Amino acid sequence: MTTTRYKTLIIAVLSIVLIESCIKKPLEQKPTGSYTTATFWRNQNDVIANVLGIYNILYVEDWVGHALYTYDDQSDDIYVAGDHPDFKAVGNLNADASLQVIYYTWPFAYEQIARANNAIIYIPKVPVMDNAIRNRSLGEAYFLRAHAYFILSQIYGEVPLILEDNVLKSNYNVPKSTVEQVRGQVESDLLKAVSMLPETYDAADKGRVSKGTAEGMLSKLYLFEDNFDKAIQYGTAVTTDANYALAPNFTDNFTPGAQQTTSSELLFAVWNQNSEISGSLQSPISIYFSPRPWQGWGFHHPTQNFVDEFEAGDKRKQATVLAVGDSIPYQTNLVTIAGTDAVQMFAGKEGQQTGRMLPSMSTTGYYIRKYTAFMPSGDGNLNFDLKQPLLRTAEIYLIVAEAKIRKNGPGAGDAEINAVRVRAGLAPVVAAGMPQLIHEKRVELGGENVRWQDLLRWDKDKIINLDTIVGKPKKASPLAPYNGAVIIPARTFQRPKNYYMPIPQQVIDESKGVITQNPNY
Amino acid sequence: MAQTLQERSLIERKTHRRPVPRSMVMTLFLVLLLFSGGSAVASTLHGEAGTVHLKAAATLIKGVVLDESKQPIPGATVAIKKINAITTTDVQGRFQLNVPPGEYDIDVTFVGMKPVRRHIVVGDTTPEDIVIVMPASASALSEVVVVGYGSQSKRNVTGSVVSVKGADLQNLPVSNPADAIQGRAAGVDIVRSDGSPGSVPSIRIRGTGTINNADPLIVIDGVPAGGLNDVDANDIASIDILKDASASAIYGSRAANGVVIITTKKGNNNEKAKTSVSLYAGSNTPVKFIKMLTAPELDQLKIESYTNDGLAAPTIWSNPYYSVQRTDWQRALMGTGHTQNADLSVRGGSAASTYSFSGNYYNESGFIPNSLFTRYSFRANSEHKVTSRIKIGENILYSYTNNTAPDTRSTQAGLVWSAIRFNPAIPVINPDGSWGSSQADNQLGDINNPVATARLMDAYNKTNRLLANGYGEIEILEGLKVKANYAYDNSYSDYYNFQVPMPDQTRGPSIASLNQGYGKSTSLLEEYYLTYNKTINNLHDITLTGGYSAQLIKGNYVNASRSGFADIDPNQRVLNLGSSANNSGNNYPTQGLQSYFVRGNYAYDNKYLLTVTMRADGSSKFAPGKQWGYFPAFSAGWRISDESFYDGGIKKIFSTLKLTGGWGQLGNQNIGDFQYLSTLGYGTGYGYALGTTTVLQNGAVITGLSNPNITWERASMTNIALEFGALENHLTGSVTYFDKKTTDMLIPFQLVETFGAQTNLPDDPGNIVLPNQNIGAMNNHGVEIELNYQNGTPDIKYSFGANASFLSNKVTALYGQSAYIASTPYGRENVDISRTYQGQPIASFYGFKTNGLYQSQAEIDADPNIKNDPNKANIKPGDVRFVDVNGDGVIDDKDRVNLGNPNPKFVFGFHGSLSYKNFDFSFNFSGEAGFKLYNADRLAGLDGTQVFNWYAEEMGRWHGPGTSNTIPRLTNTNLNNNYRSSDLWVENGTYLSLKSVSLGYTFTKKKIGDVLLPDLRVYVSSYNVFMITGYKGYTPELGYTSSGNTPANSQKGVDVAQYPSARNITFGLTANF
Repeated sequence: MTTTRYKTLIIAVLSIVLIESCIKKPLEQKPTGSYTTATFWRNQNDVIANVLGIYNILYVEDWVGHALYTYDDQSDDIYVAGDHPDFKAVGNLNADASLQVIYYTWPFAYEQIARANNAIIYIPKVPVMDNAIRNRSLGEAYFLRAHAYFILSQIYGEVPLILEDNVLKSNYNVPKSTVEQVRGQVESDLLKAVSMLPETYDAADKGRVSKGTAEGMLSKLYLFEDNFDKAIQYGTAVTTDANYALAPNFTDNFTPGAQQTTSSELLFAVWNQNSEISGSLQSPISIYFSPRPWQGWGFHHPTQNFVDEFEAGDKRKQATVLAVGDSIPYQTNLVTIAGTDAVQMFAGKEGQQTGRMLPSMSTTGYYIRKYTAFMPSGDGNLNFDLKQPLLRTAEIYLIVAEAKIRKNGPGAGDAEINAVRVRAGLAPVVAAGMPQLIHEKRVELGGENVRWQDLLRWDKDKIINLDTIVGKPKKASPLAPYNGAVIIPARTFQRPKNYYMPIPQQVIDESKGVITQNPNY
Repeated sequence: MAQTLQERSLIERKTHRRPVPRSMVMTLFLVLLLFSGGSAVASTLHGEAGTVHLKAAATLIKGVVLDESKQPIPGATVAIKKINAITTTDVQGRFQLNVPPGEYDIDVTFVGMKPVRRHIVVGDTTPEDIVIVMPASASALSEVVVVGYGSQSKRNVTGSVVSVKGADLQNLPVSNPADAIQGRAAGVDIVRSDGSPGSVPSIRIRGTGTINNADPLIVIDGVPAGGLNDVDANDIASIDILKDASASAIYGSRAANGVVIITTKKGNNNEKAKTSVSLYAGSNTPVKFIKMLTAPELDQLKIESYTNDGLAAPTIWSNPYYSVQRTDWQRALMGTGHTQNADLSVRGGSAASTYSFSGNYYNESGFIPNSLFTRYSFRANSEHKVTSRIKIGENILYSYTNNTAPDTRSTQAGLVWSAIRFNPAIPVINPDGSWGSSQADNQLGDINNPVATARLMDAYNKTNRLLANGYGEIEILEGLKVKANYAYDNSYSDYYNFQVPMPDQTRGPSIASLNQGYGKSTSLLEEYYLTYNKTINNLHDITLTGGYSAQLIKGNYVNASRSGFADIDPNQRVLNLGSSANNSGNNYPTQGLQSYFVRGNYAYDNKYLLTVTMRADGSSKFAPGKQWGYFPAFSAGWRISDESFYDGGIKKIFSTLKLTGGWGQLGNQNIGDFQYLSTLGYGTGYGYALGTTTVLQNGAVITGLSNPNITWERASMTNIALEFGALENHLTGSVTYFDKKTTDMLIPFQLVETFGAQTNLPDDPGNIVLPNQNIGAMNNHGVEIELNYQNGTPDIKYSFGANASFLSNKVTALYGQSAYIASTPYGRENVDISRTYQGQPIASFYGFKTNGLYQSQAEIDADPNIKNDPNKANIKPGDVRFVDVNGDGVIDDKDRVNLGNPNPKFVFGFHGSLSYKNFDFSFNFSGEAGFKLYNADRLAGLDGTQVFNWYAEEMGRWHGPGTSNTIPRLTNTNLNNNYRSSDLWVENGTYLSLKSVSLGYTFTKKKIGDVLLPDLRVYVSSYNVFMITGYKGYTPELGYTSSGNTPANSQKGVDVAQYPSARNITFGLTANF
């Protein structure tokens, strides 16, 4: 080999060594496009986004967005249809710890709590921001944490309390707290929320929880604790505040548009928005509660037992119950009447198309219509702009009425009951006792996931006997083709087992026994 | 030994928190590198000085060793006894030797070939290439294996490597090479999860090594690259699978689960251009259908189920419309698919250069409408000798693929799942032209018409990929080479999914939507390594390899969607015609890897062999201070049959005998990026709508928790093997024992659910990614046996191969917060059917034991299993008798036990080929035994609470004493929970499958007039020919079914009505010009 070639070689080798660091510092990579806990919570915008992130969990189908309504199917008002055996088992008072629906509530409740916990931990640390917004944001976080714990205490009873300290120490596997301790936490969080939240918002922020929302939730909590004085105190703060006045029409609470404008009654609602416009989320409550041929999944059918509860002339019946032959504005999903559909009211119209509810759509002959609205464009699609009411002033009126009756006897709650009755076009009641209140609450809040928890509460307080209520079969419409068929036979209520759902088996298994099963499961 | 080292390295990691020691160790490595290089230079210089007079006069002779078909023979031994010069041929079959002028005999030997002696005269001028053609002896074995950063004579390999020749993979109607090697290599289990076109099976080398990603590293022509779907099997020269630590160590940072090295075909020096064309086409059909109830049967049983509960059946079941059989939905959905393939290749070379060009078109349409896989690929490579000491070359692969497959996993929308369940009285298309629908009644289920869903699908998933590398090699001194390799791997994907509105279907969607996106993934690789090879005194053969590699992988993914399309004309399905606001997102993953490595091979007298490897690997997935892992490996071999005492009788039986053994450690970091940081999601997807408008505002949610301590998972492997050749090397084989211990296993946090919504909650925004923790240990050990027999005469040639692996898997430690690793639940349960517990095999089935059905009330009253059970009054004859394992007289969650292991204890295959004159025939069987499957689809198909159609087996349900002891009575209330996870649904998975068979005839080159006709082979072949199994579902090859955030290997062998495997039949021809 010649010297020249040798030199060339050496140069070649050296040049390879010199370009060696073609890839610079391969191990020093940084995440792009996602914040870390260390780089967030810099300013007011971050705080506002953080709080909206808590509200975001309300959209979840298997949590507030729908699945919680499955538990109300245990009541006498609703029959659970659809293809989910787990929903049916709950409706049959035969819940098993391994059911999916029993499980879903747990992680999503704790997800809402986790998001609120992070807000409560980090918001005070943001160096510079408008203090009014900081206060409001913390108030919202406290309220939303309380809301989740209140639901947990209703569904499962005793649950573990995960608070800021658990998050900071990553200590999540803790034993259950008593129902009293959980309610105590709810109370303390709601009291903080009452002190921090504003009374009203301007139009752009409508949908956030307000001081009245927290007061209303507190009055409900106190009623669960049989603390009538405080239930009256906080309930009255809502009913006497013009900002939370009852909507002029009952239907305003369930009509898109009116919900955002004329109804001051929606203290707390899932502020759904239409996917046709926004391109993302949908309203699961609309899908689950609307008839199948009308783009829904038709899961919850009200029973004849419930429909019978309405007094003649009650405007709420039309707004609450959709019966065979009824139609809904803008409903354009025309369905051809089949021979079997003609049995009842369409006899002789075979082959004709209709926008009306057909007998084949429901097992009972009815639907809840509170969660169904159609696009005004007439494209036949559900209007997901429909907000989902979670707490209405009307309920607070009835909470105050119950507290007053149970504190001072029949007649003490007449004013509150009548405020609700008069709007429904009914005559006022005089000297109303608990039976009248129970009736009023059933028809006012039908399908709004209130009935079953009330029944459990009243059964524990020996105001009613659930044996007789669940011992009565659930029935379908007396009209053909239903002929009053028994849909759900008489069930048995087991105490204390059926007061609460079982703790999800997966939660128990994963906790290595730290979390124990509820009695009798 | 293993344990001590492991503990020490653990301590090292724990104490070395500051970055200083890392750089110290790196410096140490650099010094080591320099030392290895330096000492090499020194000894070379010394060697040169000692033989200076000889060198000055020496002439370089070069040549190539070919077989009778002019294919190169790599690894042949070329020796000149007179001057004690010996070498082996490289992958191209080439050799070179320095000899002084004179006359010599060159002896060329190679196992399976007749030895050749050639007389040469070496003068002062450089002689021409010596071309030596070796006739085949009885057997012909490939004797060179590719081992990473080089190739090695199989004779001297001490690690565990199994090779599959490209010839075995040719012209099989499969989209990827993994399907073709099923059953061909011991210790390599090809786990098929899905039969859809373009689906790539999982490769498990020596069992499932970890609960997270256990896929081996795929190296294509020296570039760690992955993407088996882009490689045309007809382009493959060989697949070498590195199984143990010593063999894989050189790819240590990602080799814990083994390495699959794919080497593509190259041209040969001094060879005229050879053109080859290959074409085939065929069809594929389903192998099996599940027998379902007919409409009248279903109607009868639905009424029975309500009657059993004392209820009137819903009105639909008295409607005569629903008791008329109209559709067999499985046959309506699954018809016939087609496969076409075309290949063209040109290969050749001059004295200094070789080249290869090839192109491939592959198109497979599945038997479900609109499922397809299409590939166009082009490959080029060449290598050039710039001077006698400088070599440069490149490999370029460009491929375009389009792959669409319907959802066949979901238990709400899966197409096959839907076809099994759709009501048989509903027609596919109604007389008025509309699609049959289940919308009419809740009793028909929330399920879409699967044929409509498949036909209306408008989606594609196109990927353009460029994988290119260029390398240069310089021989600095004799035996000392430095090589640089640069690789660029770019994948550009383009996906589109237009959802046609289906307002007449129960699950909708009611409005049209379009989801579209582009993704770019780029990988840059640079490698530099020195190789020094020296034979001293013809006794000591030393090869040292040392180097550096760095890789950077970055991605950029953008997607956008809109809904509400007024016009769904196929030409108007573009984003800006959607009426909703635009919803968009992007994602920028990034990761980097850096490694230093040294390997030494030493052979004494070709009898005593030693390989030592040491490497340091850094990964950006871990926090600074936790990034580096150090992984040693060594192995040794003893060629017993080369000993002087090895003679006589035993040598007659076992002509060759080699014992090897080794131990080593490898790292795994194949998990999500940046788990040491706690990340936040920000955007409208986490936001909320406020006010009277409908604008969704940005929200922020913590989407990932951090684990700052996360670091390398380690696999420590021990390996002992005996290799032998017998019957004059007609029969070769090996027996290997291996033991693989995974420690510091990376397992996702198993926090209790009080943390929040972290697992298994698809479609909801609450998913939080929990970081992995190094909290587990697992063991795989077993035995592999490989046997190959070749023999023949010039007219008849035949070969048979058989292999088997016996494997045992156990999770040996799990010290997280939770006692087990959860997996995906099935249907509407929250209890996962597969769980991973300490002391049990990974992903074992978990649930209740059963003991038949209660035949009478007396049996219920007398049953000790439920003597204290509060639910006793709800149990009726025809319900399942669950076993009270803990003996407390109550059936509850404490009675759940391990119901079986989905991991086969025995995986085997045998294959053979036979040629007689111009006919050739080959077959390949594969099988698995000793494992269980969970037939979840059958559970749901017999569950009386399910509103859908049921399995035809339901006719044999319990409906009176003695009518059945396995299929419970029909009930809608299900108060005994008969369909909970239990051994009723666990089946034996053992199967034997004839994977492929092929029969061909070759027309040899003929001259007709002036025209030379090509070699022409015509053949017929079939893939998935038949299967022998007792399994009740479509196929026992169910693969992995975990989803959501559960670890990839946490669930296996669960039947969710996956896309069934197809049986293919193809006809083809290959022409060589």
